[in-house]
Parts: sequence; structure tokens; C-alpha cells
Amino acid sequence: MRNLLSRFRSTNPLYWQGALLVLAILAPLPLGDYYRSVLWRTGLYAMLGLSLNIIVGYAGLFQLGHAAFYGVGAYTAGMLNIYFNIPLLLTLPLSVVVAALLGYLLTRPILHLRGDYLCIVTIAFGEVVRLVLVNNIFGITGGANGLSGIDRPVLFGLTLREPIYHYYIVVIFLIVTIFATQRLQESRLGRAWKYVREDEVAAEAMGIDTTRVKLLAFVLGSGWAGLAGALYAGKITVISPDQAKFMESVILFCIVVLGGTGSIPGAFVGTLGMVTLPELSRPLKAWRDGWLGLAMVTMMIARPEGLWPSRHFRREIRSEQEAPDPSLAVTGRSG
Amino acid sequence: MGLLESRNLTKEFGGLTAVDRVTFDLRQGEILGLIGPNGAGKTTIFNMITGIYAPTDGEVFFREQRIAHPELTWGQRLTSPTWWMSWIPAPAVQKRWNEFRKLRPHEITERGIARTFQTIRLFDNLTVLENAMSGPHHRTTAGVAGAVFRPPSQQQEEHYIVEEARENLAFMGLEEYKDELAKNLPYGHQRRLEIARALATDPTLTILDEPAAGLNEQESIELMALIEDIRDSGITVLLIEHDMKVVMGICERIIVLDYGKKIAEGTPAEIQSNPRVIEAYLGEEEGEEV
Amino acid sequence: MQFLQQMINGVTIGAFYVLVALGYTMVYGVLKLINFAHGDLFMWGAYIGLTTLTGLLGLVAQGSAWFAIPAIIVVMLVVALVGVLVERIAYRPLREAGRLAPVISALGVAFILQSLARNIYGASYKTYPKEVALGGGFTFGGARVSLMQVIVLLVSFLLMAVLYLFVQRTRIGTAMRAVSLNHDVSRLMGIDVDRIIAIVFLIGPGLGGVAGMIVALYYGSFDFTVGWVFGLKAFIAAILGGIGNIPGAMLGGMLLGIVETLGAGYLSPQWKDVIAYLILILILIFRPTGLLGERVAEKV
Repeated sequence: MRNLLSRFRSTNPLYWQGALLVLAILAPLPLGDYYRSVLWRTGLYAMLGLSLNIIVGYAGLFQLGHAAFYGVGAYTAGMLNIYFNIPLLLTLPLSVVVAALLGYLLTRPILHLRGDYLCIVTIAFGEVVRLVLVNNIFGITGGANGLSGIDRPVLFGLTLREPIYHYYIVVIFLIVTIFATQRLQESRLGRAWKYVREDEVAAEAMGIDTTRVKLLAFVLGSGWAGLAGALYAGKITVISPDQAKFMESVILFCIVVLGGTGSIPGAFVGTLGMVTLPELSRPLKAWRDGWLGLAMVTMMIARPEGLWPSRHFRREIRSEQEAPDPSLAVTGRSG
Repeated sequence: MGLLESRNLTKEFGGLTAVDRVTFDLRQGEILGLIGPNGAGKTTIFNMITGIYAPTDGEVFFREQRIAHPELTWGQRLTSPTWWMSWIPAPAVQKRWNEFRKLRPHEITERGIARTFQTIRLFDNLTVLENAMSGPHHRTTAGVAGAVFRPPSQQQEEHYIVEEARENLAFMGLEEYKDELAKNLPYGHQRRLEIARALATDPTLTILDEPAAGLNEQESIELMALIEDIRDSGITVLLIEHDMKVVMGICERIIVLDYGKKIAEGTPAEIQSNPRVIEAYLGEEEGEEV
Repeated sequence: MQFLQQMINGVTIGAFYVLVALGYTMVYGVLKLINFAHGDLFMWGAYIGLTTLTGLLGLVAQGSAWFAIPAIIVVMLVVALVGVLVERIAYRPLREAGRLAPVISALGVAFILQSLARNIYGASYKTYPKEVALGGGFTFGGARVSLMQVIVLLVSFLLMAVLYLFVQRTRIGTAMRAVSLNHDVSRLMGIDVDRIIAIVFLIGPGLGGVAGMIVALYYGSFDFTVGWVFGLKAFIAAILGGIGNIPGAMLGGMLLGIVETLGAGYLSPQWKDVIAYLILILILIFRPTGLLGERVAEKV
């Protein structure tokens, strides 16, 4: 087994990446529309997981309100389409910008908070966004039932109605996401995040603008979640405040943490467990919250670094367990 | 004016005066020692110089620019035009704003002051090389676009960062450990990595906070030679230390603090024979030499 | 008058928040853990109360409000037991596991409890039997005070007083305060930290469960989501007063209840939840240790 693993590691990654790509392209073909939708949903949540991975995995910040930006992106796309008749594909960049901007505004005042407290504030922000959408602010967000009647995306004159087209769109964006996050991880910025996550005070002393670095993580992650929201709007054509609810944020958080913090394959593993599996299994759907809860408790006890964590994170979690950090929640190391 | 000047530097924590009107200056190219019994306020002075706290009173100048001053009250902020105009991106406005507000620690580092920590604060789960690579960070600029697209300028920068890091590791004798995790290094090497990392920021002044703590005889001697090498390479050194052999061995001048006040300043010989210093360390009863 | 009525209602809701907030604050005090599952323990209190009452009414032909008393006792015991079990299974193994793992585990327990409630009892609203409801009341200065409110307030304040005396005057209470300051030193002083923590998980959830039943009695109906919203509000109250601080929880609960009711009455009912969240955000940004908490700083 070990031999196999090391042989795997030493082969050119392009081979198995290519194989995965081919698999991704061929997968929906023999399947019916229902399962194609499941594939689409898997891809979308993987994208969301990767976007949260930047915040939680790379920068090491607690974010339990991520679904708010997903919702905001969906609403931006939906409202621009419904009220201004802007074609859906053109609303994508604006969804990113609005979500990223909201991410900046909401996180700027709370960056100095650590651990538990940051966690609570992000939950609160998520709920506030959801409630603002529910309360139909300025009469434009459609209230608790949301908005419907969003147009399908139109590409080169072809109206994309069937799930398979949406699946391929998601695959394209997913490839871009994987590429970009991989590059970010191995860059100067990625290192800066590692330094901040390891020891914020020391990082600051080394000349790293920790505020800027943390903000960047939030803005990037939030903006990308907004993009996913816009893609959702294009397929489902109905958006509601439920997209921004706390449960969604928890699912996303679990995708990252239980799948494997800080790693790209981890996001996929997490999505399969948290999203795909419940979709495919009927009894699991009824007990979905319970399944989620059970997964969370057992994973934390048995394997807190997640199923497929990045090498770095596994080291970090293991060392935290050997020498726990007694610092108080008000100040001290984050995460 | 010296490279670094502290004027009437004072810090109060609630009712406790940790640092009491300390004035001293640091000359370019020297090794200045700061000693005193535990609790005398040495690290607090460091923390004020490096921007972790703001002084309650007094100022610090570095290269004739003010880098530390008391925190502004809301009254002062609201009544000063500089504060109101601080959002304007014009260089002249920003220059005045930077003098007006409290500088953050990373900005102090950018200006050329590097520091180590009394308790080692390495990036434990990263390699020695990665630790050192944090130094050149503030001298490079690649951002999100650079990370994703990797233009030639970014690749050159990465090359530069690695080279700088390796150079500083080599200077401290740690090159062979570059791929080892920082937390796996023996204690003495961890201390050296702290220093190497600080040097990698390309400072003009390096503040070392008890670098000899926990080192044995041999390691202390090596450390003394290293600090002298640092000074010889053009970097000024400010040293807090308890180990008297190290202090008397390499410092050209020494400042002594006790209960937050400066009680003596001079060469090692002068300090060793200063009765106030002896009293501060040993109390009046004992008559032994330092 | 409007204002007086709002105040009375506010104080009533405040009392509920206090009972639940106490559970959060005590657990945080000894474990530095935000027990996200607490709101759902409160919710289970409501359900168990319902089952008990229905059971009792099934046995005895003539119902009466007095049945609430044995029911409350049953609820207190059962939920307290569940609380201890939860601590033993989901939190104790993670004592030394850093900050992230216990939080996730707590959320997990919350979801498990919710899922169990939804699947066992169904998703529809449940109402408490009319036989147990108390009518009547009186007017006071132009405001209406119901008998229910009076009793609820009396019971709540009684519980708060007992708890306060317990923590301040008894040995176990002192041990709890010691554990909340430092586990290791407490052990050195001979305190069985595990036992103290188990006791905290008896009292906190016990109170929460009782609060659940009282709230269900007061409003008449509830569903499985009541734990989430109520729990979060009570949690905000605990933070407002200073988490880990028992008098703080009492102050925070009352304040939140009053401010929220006044806000809903004078501004707009829809936004009352948003008001509560905004209070939380502002507190965390400007004074995270709450009104009665102490400021602590990191030594560099």
C-alpha cells in the first residue's frame, strides 16, 4: 500500500488530473436529469467549499456566516435580471463584486476578534443578512418567499435549460477555482496566511500587514461565494433567503473542516459527505441534520483534521493536541 | 541625534508605572545593552519602540522620525484636520497622517527595526526556510494577481525571497536545517532562527530580547560572536540580556533600569563598579560583586 | 399604559432569557466552551414537558394546573441527565483539543438533538393541553398582568436566587468558581474537576429544560425550531452580561428582554431579532467581555 502511494505521488500529476477531467466530462452522460442535478449541486458546493477554504483553511479564521455571501450573490444576479433585464451571464461579475464588497464591509470591523468571538460574530452577521432579505428591505427582495422568474443563462444564442449545461458551466468554474486556489496556496500571499495562522503577533513583527492579509482572505472567499450564488440563480431560477441561513453556513464549514482543512481534495470529500450523500439517500435526507451532527461529533473526536487535510494542517492540529494553548478567547491566537 | 532616541518614555498600566521617564539614545553601529532586574521595564520599552503599545508619555525617534508617541484621545482626533483628511490618498497628507497616528508593528519593521521575542515565537509548523522567508515579505509586492498568473516579475521575486532567506540562514549557521520543521530544532538553534528571521527583514536596527536565555556556556560564546558579526555587517544592535558574561563581553555601552527608571549609563567597566547598579541587583545587605 | 405593559412583558421574557443564559454562562465558565446544544436542550424541555403532561392527564381523568409541578420536576431531571450524557460523550474527549473541535462538536450535538425531535415528534406545532393552562390576571396601573406571568416570574426568580446562593455560599459552588478560573490549579487544590463539570452540566441544562417547559406553557404552542432562536437570544444575553459571569447572565437576560420588547413595541416587530443581533455585534466589537466581565490582555 505504501509503495502504491509513493508511486502515485511520484507520477506526473497531469495524468490523474487529466483522468479526473475526462471523468467529470463523461459522468453526466449516462445519467438522467435528476442525477445530473445532483452532480451539479456537488460541483457547486465544492466551489463554495473551496471559497470558504481560503478563509478557514488558509487564513485560519472562523467563518460561520459564509452562506450570507452565497445568498447575496444569488440575489444580486436575480435582482439585476428581474428588475433590469440584464442577461444572467453578465450579472456574474457584479455578483462577485457585491459579495466581495459586503465581505469587506462586514469583516473590517471584526478582524481583531479571536476564536470563539469571531465565530459568534460571523453567525450574527449571517443571520442579519438573512433577516434583511426576509424583511423585504426597500420592498425589493421579495420577502420570505424570495424572488422567482429569473431567466436562464443564454450562451451564444442557446438558452441553457437542461441540468447538464449547468453542470458543465460549474465544471468550468470549478477548474478555474481549483487552479486559482492552488496557486494562491503556493504564493507569497499563501505564505502570509500561513504566518498569520501560526502566530499573528510574530507575523506582524516580521512586517506582514496582518489586517490586510486577513481582509484579503475574507474578500476573496466572499466574492467567490457570490459567484456560486449567481450560478445557482441561473439554474434554479428561484432564490430565497433560505440560501443564507445558518444551516447552510454550517454545512459549508463542515465541508471544509470535516473534508480536510486547507486542502483542495478535502473540499471534494467534504462535499460528497455533506451534500451528495444526503441527496442520494432518502432516509439520510429526513435525518440530514442528525447525520450532519453525528458526522461532526465523531470526526472531532476521531479525526479533527478532517478526512483529507493538507499536510500543514494535520501537523498543526496534532501539535495543538499535544500542547494545548491556554490563552483566553479575548486575545490570543486565532482559530 | 542618534539612530534611535527615546525621550522621557513612560508607560503606565493602570496604577503601575512600568517605565518611568526613560531617556537614552542609541548610536549607529554600536551594540547597546539594556539590563536590569526582572520587571524593570526592559521588554515594555521594546514593545513601545516596536509599536505593540503606545507610550503613556514621551516619544521615540528613529532616524529623526517620530515612531512612538502617546495614544491620541478622541478629543485630539476630532479637533485635528489631519485626522479628518486622513482618507485623502495624497502623499503629503498621508505623510502627516503617518506622523500623527500610532504606527502598527509591521510598519515599524518596514522602517528598519527588527525584533526577536523573549519567549521564542517561531512559526512552529513551518520549515526553517519558510520561517526565514517571512523576512523579505515586506520588501516584495506580489499580490493576488501575481499569485494566480505568475508573471516573470513574480517569479523573480520568489527567487529573491528564497535567496535572501538562505543567505540569512547561512549567516546564522542554519543552512543545513532549512527543510526541517521549526518546532523540531533544538532550543539553541531555535534561538538562532529567531534572529535569522529578524535579520531577513533587512533591518537597520535589531532588537534582541534575551537571546541567550536558556543557552549553555558554549552556545552563549557562539552567540556573542554572532552578535558581533551582525554589528560588523552594518546593523546596530540593542540587546536585553540577563546573562552578564554576554552583556559585559560585547556591549560597548550599557543602560541599567530598575523599577522603570534609568539608574545608570556607561561602559561595562563603569557599570560594574556603579554602586547603584550593585544595589539594584543585590539589595543593600549583600556586599558581593556583580 | 403602553410603556408599563411593554416593561412587564419585557421583564417576563427577560426572566426566560436569564434561565437559559445561566446555562450558557456556567458551561462557558468551567469549560470555555460555547455550548451550542443548549438551546436544543431547552427545546427538549418543552417536548418532555408535553409528553409528561399528556401522560399524566391520560392517567388521571381530571386535569389541573397543579400537574405542572411534577412535570417540571420530571423535565428538570431528564434534561439534566441528557446534559451530563452530552458532556461525557461529546465534550469530555475534546477537553484538550484546542478551540475549534469542541465548537464543532457542540454544533453537531445541537443538530442531532434537533433531528431527533423533528423525527420523533414531527415537524408541526405542538400545543400544551388546555387543562394545564392558567387563565386570569389583574390590572395594574393600566397594564394587564396575567396570573401566568406572575407565577412564571416567581418561579424564575426563585430559581435564580437559589442558584446564586448555591454558587456563592456552598463548597460546590466555590469549587465551580475555582474550576472556571483554572483547571490545573483546581486539581492541585483537590477538586475533582470532572465531577464539578458534570454538576455544572446537571444544573445548566436542568435550568434550560425547565425554562423550555415554562416558555411552552406561557405561549401555549411551540415547534422544534424554538430552541434555535431562543437559544441564540439567551446566548446573546449571556455575552451581553459577560460570559462566564452569573450575575452578568441575569443582568444581560433582563436587559435583552426589555430592550427587545420595547423595540418590537415601538419600532417594528419584524426587526426585533435584528436588533438583538446588532446588540451582539456591537458588544463583541467594542466590549467583548460584556457589561460585567473583566478585560484581559495578552502578554507579549
